[in-house]
Amino acid sequence: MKRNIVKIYEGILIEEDKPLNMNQLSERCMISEIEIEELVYEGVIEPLQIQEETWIFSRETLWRLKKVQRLRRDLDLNIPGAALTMQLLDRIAELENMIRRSTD
Amino acid sequence: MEFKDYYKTLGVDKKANDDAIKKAYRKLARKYHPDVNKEGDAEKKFKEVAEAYEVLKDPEKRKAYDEFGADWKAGKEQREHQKQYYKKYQRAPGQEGFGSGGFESGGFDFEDLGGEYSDFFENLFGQRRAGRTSGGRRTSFSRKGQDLNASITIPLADAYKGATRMISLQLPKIDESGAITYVPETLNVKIPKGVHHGKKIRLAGKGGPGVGGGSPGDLYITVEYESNSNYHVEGGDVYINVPIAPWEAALGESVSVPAPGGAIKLKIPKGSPSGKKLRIKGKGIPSKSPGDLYVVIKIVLPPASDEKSTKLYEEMKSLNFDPRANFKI
Repeated sequence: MKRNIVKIYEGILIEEDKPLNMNQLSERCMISEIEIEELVYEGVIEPLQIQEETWIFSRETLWRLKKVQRLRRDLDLNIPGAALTMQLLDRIAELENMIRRSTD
Repeated sequence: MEFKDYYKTLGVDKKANDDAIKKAYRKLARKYHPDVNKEGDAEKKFKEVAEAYEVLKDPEKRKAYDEFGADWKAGKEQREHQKQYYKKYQRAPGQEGFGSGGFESGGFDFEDLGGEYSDFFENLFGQRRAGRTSGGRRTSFSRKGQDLNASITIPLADAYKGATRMISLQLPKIDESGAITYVPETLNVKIPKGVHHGKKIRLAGKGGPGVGGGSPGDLYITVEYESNSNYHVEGGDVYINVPIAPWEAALGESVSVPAPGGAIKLKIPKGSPSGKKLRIKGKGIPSKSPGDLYVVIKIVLPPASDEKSTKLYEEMKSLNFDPRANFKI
């Protein structure tokens, strides 16, 4: 009998994944380190340990930053504009969760 | 292949100037941007709008579109048009796309949505090349391949036990001529036990091919729980709504509840009202510090549909129970 070998891919949950440094984040999101700093000061993204000399970021920050970059590029937003948009989107998500919970 | 009326997509006149086109694009982009609009067809609409803008914002592309697109005909004649186009702009089919900087000159980066331009667009302007660089530079450099997104919906039980799920997606591959083509592939992906809703799993190296010897990108799979009105999840805590008969709630009885981690035996306390939450510690989504399971009691009335049930309800009237005794507005 013919047997099919099925390859099973095992991924890493990104919250348990290795954090990224400034340089990796900058390269993966095509954003300058200065702009990353600006976004940190605007409170859009947060390094894992803010007191440290060199910042490191969780993998989830990568996704947040990619979203910021898409918004900036597609809607031609500057950094404060993107920061406001992210803040409002976070707020909408929070409110939607509240509605979902109360209608369950 | 269908002709795409880019002017109609943006809702502008054929004679519209650059400012009017930009304004129309911005307005539609804000409305349909998939990061802003979560409705199902927003992404599709946004791609159409972005493609239209990609062409109409660029004077050269717009001119080509106006010339060859206006009397677009499918099939053989269309290929003639394309040939003429390439001849005119001295570009052989199969070379880098149109204009300096190719398709990287701003606009929406389709990478992030794992999408591509329409067949119409690619026929008119050529395919995107794998070797493209930003800013039109063609220097020898290597770059990691693009990261791709996918999502998978799992039943809640998978988060309790872990599972292997099949996911079908289009993965980019570089063909012999160096063009990126999307090849359908089915992957068997291990769903780790204890995965939370909305979390991402990274499959290293399963993303887009690298450029100039760069390593391939990664595939990120967002795990979502099946939505079901019988449960909801908050972090690691799971709430299940369990139907209970009035006597089970009034008298207090042991019932068997089909919980996501397997059936559990539960003692309903005597006199439990509808909506009462019973907490079962540590039976939420499993982890080192697992969440809790909350059973929310939902009392279901048997219908007074036959003689026996009607008689029982009639008898209950003699209890002189006033449900509105403490009710005030």
